[in-house]
Amino acid sequence: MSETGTTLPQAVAPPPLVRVEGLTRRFHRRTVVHPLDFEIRRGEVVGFLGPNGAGKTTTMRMLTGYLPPSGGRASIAGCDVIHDPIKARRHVGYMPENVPLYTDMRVKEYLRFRARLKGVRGRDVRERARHVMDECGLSAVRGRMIGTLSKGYRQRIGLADALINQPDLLILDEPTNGLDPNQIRQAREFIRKLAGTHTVLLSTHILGEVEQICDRVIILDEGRVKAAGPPVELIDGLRAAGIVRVELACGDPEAAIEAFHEVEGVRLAEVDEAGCEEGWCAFVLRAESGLDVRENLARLAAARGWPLRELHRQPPRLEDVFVEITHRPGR
Amino acid sequence: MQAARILFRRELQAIAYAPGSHVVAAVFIVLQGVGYVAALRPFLDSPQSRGLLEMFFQGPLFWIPFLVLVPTLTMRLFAEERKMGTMEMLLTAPVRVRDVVVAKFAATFVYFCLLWVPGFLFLHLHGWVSGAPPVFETGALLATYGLVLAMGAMFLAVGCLASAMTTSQLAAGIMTFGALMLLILLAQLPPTLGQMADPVQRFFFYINSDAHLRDATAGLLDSRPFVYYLSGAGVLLAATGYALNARRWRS
Ligand SMILES: Nc1ncnc2c1ncn2[C@@H]1O[C@H](COP(=O)(O)OP(=O)(O)OP(=O)(O)O)[C@@H](O)[C@H]1O
Ligand SMILES: [Mg+2]
Repeated sequence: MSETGTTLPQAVAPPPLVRVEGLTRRFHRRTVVHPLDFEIRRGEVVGFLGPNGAGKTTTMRMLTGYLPPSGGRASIAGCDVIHDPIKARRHVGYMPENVPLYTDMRVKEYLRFRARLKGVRGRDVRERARHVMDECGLSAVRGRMIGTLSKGYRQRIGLADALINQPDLLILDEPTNGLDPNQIRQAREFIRKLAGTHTVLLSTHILGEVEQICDRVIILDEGRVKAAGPPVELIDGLRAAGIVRVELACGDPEAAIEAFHEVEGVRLAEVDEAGCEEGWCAFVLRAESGLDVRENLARLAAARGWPLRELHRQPPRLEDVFVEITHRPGR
Repeated sequence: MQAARILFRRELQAIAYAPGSHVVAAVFIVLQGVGYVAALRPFLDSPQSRGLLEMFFQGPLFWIPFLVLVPTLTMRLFAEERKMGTMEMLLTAPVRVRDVVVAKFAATFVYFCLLWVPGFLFLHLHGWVSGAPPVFETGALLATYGLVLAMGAMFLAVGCLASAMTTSQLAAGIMTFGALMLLILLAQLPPTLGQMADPVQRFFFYINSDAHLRDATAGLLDSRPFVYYLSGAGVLLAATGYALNARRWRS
């Protein structure tokens, strides 16, 4: 094109680190990943969410060049993962889902082996292995056989392996899977620290984690992107933004529910059976986004003469977005 | 090639650290000793029409240990890696399937070669102990060992292919043993089938490992068996790479 002169600002923007165009995968004629498009810019931390079987692992495997796509293209740092797989892989540190490891090797031995395999040379091999062992808290077990280590340590080895050749992009498939709460917290802190210096694509089922560390999320369901954007934007865009809990004393809960539905901004009202006791009735209401219905509810209770003892608004979380997008009755 | 070298080292190490490979080595070497004694025994009573080398590299005492050794060395190679999922770790590093196949095959072949060294020494033992002139020619000895190693290369490649086709070590081992048995026995077929066309007979001779070995022990060096074994090994290793890739491409 001859327009380069006029579109200078665009030309200056750096190209995305990851570019996925129409990526597709079928297994036994069942389409598991439908044409998928997304980009990841350098320095971003992207959360890959979706229910079990959504196709997260399959997509990550295609990005790492382990699974060939049935269609479409993907490139990492400009290297096509199908036609130039070796070069593309040099830019990626990948931590697979269940962290398969050679159980008959010692930790430091394994990491040195992986470093060499990924092109680290000479004296740097030991140097890099020591560095990632320190970083990932593996120094205490550096001489242990991998087969004798607990799940938490294996996950750390997987992470250390992903980091060993200082790749541009980290692809982490459920890095906190199977860890205890303390270790999850540690891992989260660690990933947050990495976020400053790396581009990260991570999948997880722990949504609180994503809210805290991801710049952007991609929600996948049945192999299609159902939502994408920064977590706050997704939450803001949620229709049922916020859940309000009401506890009051009324003779007939059904009548109360009817009355709630009359209130402006209430989408859905249900009795919370577990919260009902001795004349008090608990309700859970879903409100429309951007509206605070608490004032109206208080006025309603006063008008009807219902004693009110709780009126609490839970701010919406990413989990609500996730459930809203991926929940289907009967699943 | 760099990757293949690194993988080769790791594979040798894995063999060296696995207790199983030492058990295999011990059993194989003991059986070679038994075979040696059995081959030597007739010479004590009377002169024999056949040489020591010929007696040693022949019959069930040679073939059975050989045909059991190959699957035990190869069955682990790819089946284990696929079952444990570590293949994913390998193939998401900058490594080609070809590198993995070459490295695993080469390491196994090196170990296989080492296992023949004690037998080689047995054959020399006789001369060293008795001070008598050797009962075979050096040329025949080298030809025989060369042939055994070439044959081993192809047989190990059969094992590699079997191991790449399944995630069960046991299945891989049984498949390999069966395939090798078939290969050896097939060549024994012609005499039982009676008269056959010339090219067919030549084909059966071409793949007759027992006959190749008999010729070599008699000091007859023919290049055709080497072509057969080495090209066979090449084709089988290519098929191994293909089998590993097919797993991933299947859709
Ligand atoms: N090798 C395979 N052969 C056949 N089907 C497969 C294969 N791998 C994955 N699938 C199917 O593809 C779909 C997506 O699987 P995938 O592992 O990508 O999901 P996921 O999003 O990672 O799920 P999870 O959250 O449980 O890890 C599933 O229905 C799964 O059964
Ligand atoms: Mg998964």
